[in-house]
Amino acid sequence: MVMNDEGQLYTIEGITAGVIMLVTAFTIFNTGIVYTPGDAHITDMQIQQLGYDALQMMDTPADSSPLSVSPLASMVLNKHKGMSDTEFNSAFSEYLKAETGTTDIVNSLEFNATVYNRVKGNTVNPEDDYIHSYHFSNSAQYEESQLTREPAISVTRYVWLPSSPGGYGADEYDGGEQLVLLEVLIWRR
Amino acid sequence: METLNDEGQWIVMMGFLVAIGMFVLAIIVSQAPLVGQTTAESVMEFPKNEIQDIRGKLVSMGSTLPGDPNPNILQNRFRGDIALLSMSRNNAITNYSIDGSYWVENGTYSDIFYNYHQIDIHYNNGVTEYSESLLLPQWDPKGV
Repeated sequence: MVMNDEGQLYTIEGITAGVIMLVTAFTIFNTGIVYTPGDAHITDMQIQQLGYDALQMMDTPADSSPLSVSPLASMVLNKHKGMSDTEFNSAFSEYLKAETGTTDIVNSLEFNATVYNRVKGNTVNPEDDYIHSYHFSNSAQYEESQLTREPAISVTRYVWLPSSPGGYGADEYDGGEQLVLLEVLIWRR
Repeated sequence: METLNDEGQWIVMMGFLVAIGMFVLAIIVSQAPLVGQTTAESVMEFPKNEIQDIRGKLVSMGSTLPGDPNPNILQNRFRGDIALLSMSRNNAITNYSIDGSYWVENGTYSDIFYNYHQIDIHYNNGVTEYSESLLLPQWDPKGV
């Protein structure tokens, strides 16, 4: 019985090619790919820029001169204690709507604003300074829309105040000129 | 074996090289996992607006601060405000100085129109680091 072994080289070549293909496929399918849709953060980025721009417009004094009280600063100064600031509410809502061009029906942007101010400690040690914060203004009429919401975008703005706000006591605000931080959370209803 | 037709050796070797090439490409792909960082995410991560805000505040206040009767008190007040509020709410280390030690020793820079004050701004939130030095003319011009 004579075995025909003329094709040995082709057999070896075929086995080699098969092994290479298998290893290649194994390497490719073992590669971890974390897939994030390219448009995942576009709306977030737009809301963030919208908020920063609105705050910057509100923080620009009418005469555009340094150390004039801006509309935003006067809102912080005139806010009544324990009440949501309606002036900021209407102005900020107007800017958000003006930029997006939406109507009342489809405008789904809500916000909640907080003021943070530094209060000096009892001693001269800077580490005794602490931060006092209070609710400034919010958009939602119903508590439900404050509870169930999309992840919020945070925008901040430093506001120059020539003195401490009138509605607050000396224990919550240092007197004189200072900078306070206004933080606004914006989200879609 | 002696009757084996080996006229196609070049073709066999080219096929082998192509297979090796595909394997190397697969290795490269496996070494470069895509983490899904999008352009919009990068835009949000870069604190452009925060830096502009701090810079704008210092530029608008900086030219008047040195002329204030108690500049150090006001500077320390604003520096403390910015440092503590940035640290707690924006996760950023922020600091500035007006007329550093060199200008204290040598006097402020001036030309025939203005006295100038140097403002150094530093910002670092762990991802973005920003430093800037700028010369601001003092608010009241000379000889007016």
